[in-house]
Amino acid sequence: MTGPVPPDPVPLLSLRGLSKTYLRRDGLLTRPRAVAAARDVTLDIARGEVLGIVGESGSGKSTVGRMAMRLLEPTAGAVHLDGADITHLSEQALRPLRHKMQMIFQDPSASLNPRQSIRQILTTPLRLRGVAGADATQEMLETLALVGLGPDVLGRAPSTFSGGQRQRLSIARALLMKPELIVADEAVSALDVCVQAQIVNLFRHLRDRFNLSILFIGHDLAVVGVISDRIAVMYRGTLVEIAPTEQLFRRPRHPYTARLLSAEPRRGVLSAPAPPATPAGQHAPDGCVFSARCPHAADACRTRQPALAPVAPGHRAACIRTDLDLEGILPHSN
Amino acid sequence: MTAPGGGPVLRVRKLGVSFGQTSLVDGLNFDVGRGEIVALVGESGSGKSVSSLAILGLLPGADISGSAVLHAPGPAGDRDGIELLGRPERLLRPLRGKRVSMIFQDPMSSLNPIRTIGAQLREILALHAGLDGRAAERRAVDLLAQVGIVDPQGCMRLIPQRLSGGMRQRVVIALAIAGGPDLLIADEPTTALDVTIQAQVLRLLLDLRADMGMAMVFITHNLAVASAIADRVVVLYAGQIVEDAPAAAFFAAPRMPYSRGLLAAAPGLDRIASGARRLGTLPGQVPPPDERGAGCRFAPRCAWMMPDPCARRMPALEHVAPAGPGGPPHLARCARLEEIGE
Repeated sequence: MTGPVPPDPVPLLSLRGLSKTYLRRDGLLTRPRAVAAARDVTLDIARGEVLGIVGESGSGKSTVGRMAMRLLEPTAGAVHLDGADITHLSEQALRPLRHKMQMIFQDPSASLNPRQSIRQILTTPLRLRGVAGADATQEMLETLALVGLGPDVLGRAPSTFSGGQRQRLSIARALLMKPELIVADEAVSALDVCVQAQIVNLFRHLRDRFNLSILFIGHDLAVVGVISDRIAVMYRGTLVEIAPTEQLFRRPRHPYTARLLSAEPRRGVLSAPAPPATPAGQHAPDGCVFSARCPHAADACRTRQPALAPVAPGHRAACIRTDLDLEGILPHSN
Repeated sequence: MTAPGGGPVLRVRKLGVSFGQTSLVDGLNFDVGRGEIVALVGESGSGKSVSSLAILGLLPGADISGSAVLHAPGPAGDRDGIELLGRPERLLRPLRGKRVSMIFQDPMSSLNPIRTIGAQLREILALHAGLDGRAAERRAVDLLAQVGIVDPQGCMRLIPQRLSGGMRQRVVIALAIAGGPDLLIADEPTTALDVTIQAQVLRLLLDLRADMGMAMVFITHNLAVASAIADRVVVLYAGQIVEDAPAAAFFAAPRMPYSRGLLAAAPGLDRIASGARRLGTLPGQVPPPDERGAGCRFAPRCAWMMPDPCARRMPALEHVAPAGPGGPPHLARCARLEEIGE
């Protein structure tokens, strides 16, 4: 379950074997069965690192983000923040740590109270930190400037802003808590490409300036690739591969990652032969989650879910077919 | 991709759409050749969806001007074509699905949630192909197989809710092509789909084009998707076409400064390889319809802007370079094309 020793002796955030299982009843008279939204997810985020999580719908990427934030109780496993186990802290004990971790969502208007002015919205985090008066106003203005907004916004209501500006405001509010970690869940997915580019640049700037750690969750491989130092790939609740971004794009080591990369829209991609069609059926309950769709599945793949194992420095994959030479979408460097 | 001797399937001239005093789109001119895939790209509010809805008469309450003529394909096609704009609804309805179809981002907007897939396909086939009974049943199963439904017979008996998003979009495509249209207008058809499913649906659309010679207007905000599927790219900005180019030329060297900005802002894979992770940005934002000036609408955000002529006169959509005989034209709307160069 534990991978190689991470470069940072104490990662800012460490997820250890996190699982989330729901009981689902398919019919009135059938027994509920356990559905794993996330299964044994282990990963670390170093200080100042941007770690991307990519996956398709149902991959469990948001579940992991919410468990990392302690917004969702894991069924098993542990969350460590700065070396301390926070998995079972009470809400009260958690409160002083909450400001260290802030979350940004896809729809900023859902998290900005429409009845409050921007000044009121931005006062709340400052008050929680005990900052008031002239100091508060100054910090507010500095933070607004940081996210590219002027002092004129303070008197306005959230509804008077565009989607991109609202996302800047929710980032400003998060920054006013002086966080060490930001979990961004599809934070730029609803934005037009030009605005998306600005917010992506802003996240990277904030990381550089404040040594922030960012867990950047998204479905768009190109966006996540541009922003992230490392990328974790999830499929049906399981973390199947984690690697430095370029390395993952050049030489994926898990067949699902290779499938995902090959689907990335780009010029000429559709004139290449389609990947082999594989049935969507259920994988064997104990086997690898991708075995039912995997063109490389061997018998052993249907009996056991492989653990995430090192395949290269800083690169781990949950696949026993280490003999494969899978195709990436960037040329090999060597 | 225009077939030799065949004129365009759709010819749009001076299309304008306004609601009351607010003009959303004006002066749109573009052609869609037989079997050609034209990507209409732009940010929200650029007018790409509004234009296509107007062409199909699906924008009640709007003032629509100009012309959109649907031609039968091939050399033997009708010379005059059918004018769609201003055509009464009762005369438009028989054309929809038969000559031109439209699909949307949300497949459920085109499906009846409480009727089986089979019933919905049979209805379309009765309407557009005059098929019923066994013949309709057989054709419906064929169509579902053609769009890649693994168990078409089983699918016929299901209601849409029982299908995944990707399967629903396939069913919608089956309904759209059932009448054998010459033109499919697809408005963000893969935006709500996972990337592996998106790739399958894009492949399907390309296969249908190859099999049926069906032309397509593919509306998208995603330049990567446009680069994967389009023969031509038409860029809209603030209700106008600002560039119209063969896809290869466009992605190699876009000419209008807004197009350049759009491509520089897109998170391309090449950036990840080069380590140049910082994305290009444009200052400011798209002007709302009531704040469009007399000059170039992009001028306030343009790095190459000159007070004269850019802020004073609207540049025309002009040839970037003299098109070779029969070669596809590359048009851009910029007064300073020559100075800016490639």
